[in-house]
Amino acid sequence: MARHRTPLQHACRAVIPLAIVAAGACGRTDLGPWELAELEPSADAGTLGEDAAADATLPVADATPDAPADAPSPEGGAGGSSGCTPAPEECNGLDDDCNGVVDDGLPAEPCPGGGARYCVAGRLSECPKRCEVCIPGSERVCQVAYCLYWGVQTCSADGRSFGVCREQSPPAQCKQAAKTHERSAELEQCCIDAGYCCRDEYDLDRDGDKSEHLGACEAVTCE
Amino acid sequence: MTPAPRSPRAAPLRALAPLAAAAALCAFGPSARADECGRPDLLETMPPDGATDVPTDARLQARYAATAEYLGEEVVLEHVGVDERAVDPIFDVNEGLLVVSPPEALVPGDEYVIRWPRLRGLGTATLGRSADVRFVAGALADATAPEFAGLSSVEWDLDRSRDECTDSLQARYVFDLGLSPASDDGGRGSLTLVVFQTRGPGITAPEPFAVRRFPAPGKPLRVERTERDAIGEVCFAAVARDLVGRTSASGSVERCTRTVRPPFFEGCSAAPRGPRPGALVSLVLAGVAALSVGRRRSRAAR
Repeated sequence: MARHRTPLQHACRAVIPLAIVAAGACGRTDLGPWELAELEPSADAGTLGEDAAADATLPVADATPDAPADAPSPEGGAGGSSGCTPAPEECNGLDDDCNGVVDDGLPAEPCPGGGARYCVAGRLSECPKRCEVCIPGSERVCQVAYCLYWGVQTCSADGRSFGVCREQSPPAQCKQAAKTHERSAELEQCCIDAGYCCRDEYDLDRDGDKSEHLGACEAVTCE
Repeated sequence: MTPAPRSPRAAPLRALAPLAAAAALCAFGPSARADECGRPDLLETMPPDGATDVPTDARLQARYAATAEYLGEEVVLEHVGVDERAVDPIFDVNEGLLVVSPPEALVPGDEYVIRWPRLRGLGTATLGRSADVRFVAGALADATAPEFAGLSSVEWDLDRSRDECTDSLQARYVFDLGLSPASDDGGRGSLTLVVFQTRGPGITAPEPFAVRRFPAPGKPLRVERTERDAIGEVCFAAVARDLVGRTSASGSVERCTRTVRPPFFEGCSAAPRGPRPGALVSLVLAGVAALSVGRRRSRAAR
């Protein structure tokens, strides 16, 4: 795993203020801006050389902004740990009923289509989705910048992303649009009119999202 | 057969032909997709095969791949030695769960077999896998929520592997989530783990992204996120769910880590562990030099 380092690696990171020297000693002289940014200590990174920035495994209490002094505490419910006044438990990250457990005993809220919303991290979760981006193995039409201007993207096996856009010959009804307009909004419109699921590269629905798809996408979208 | 004579210009063209053919195949040929891509397989069941002490009021569940569609396939519940009947399941599309509530409470100590069907998939003609699951009912109904203190740790790595659907490399951030001990009166083996990402790019509310049977004791749960979801500070939480739908009060326990974009600075680890080739060469040269000096001295002594 990326977070396990040898003592030698720890030593190297400890001399990071001398980044260039350290990089040279470690066999690297080509540190880019992103690397230097990573090496700089952050507010929550703790002691330099402790790998804190990369290894910050924190319980929520460590990472939550300070609460107002008179607000209910996670441990003690309303009024703080010294004077907990029991109240009905709510999904708020607090021990409202003063039983020592935060957000316990709250029923899940059923979701349309199945699954439920749960109280998690003091908030009600979203409903589960069948997949995150697309149905595994489904395909949508995309546009490429050369030759045929038409391509197909396949959804990955885990439904989390589309693969690369592979060039293909456009269907007969869109050949002319591809030839005349090349990569264009006109070609995207032709794709939709021809009954395909098409990547909305030209934001034809004007919602600001160019990564979504439009058209006949029932077998592609996760909802 | 004598080959026809070719002009000098034909030779280089002929040499380029295989390359051109390969390029054309890459550009226009059908994408190579494995048969497994998008198969609507049954992935796991709760209770698992061979489970004992299944609560008498358990809802029996089978989790299918995201491509699976339930089109009224028959689910059969056999009360071993008593009867066998078709039961009406409910398909939870969001979690890919086919859920059966037995028409009557399970008989304590009796053996059952549930036959989960093969389902069809969206966009694929292939049927998925099915399973026959054998289990024994326990003495009591499920009375209490699971005991689970939530996630105990999180570690991350980046994985690039060939995707069976896209036939190309897909990068994923891999998180190993450590799990606190868990128990339930319906048996630990029948618990489901629901994992949420609570912080990260674009997270506005805790997002459930993995529903799995609870891993074996001591084993972490490995989950994956895309770069879009996983750069910077990312936090996770999890709840355990039993066979009647009760959940642990562990959703408030978050575990966080901070990821960075690749490529990673691994200068020191890039150094070879053994002696470097340069050092070895230096040692050999020093040895040769010492030998030659020794010989000169011995000659001089003569």
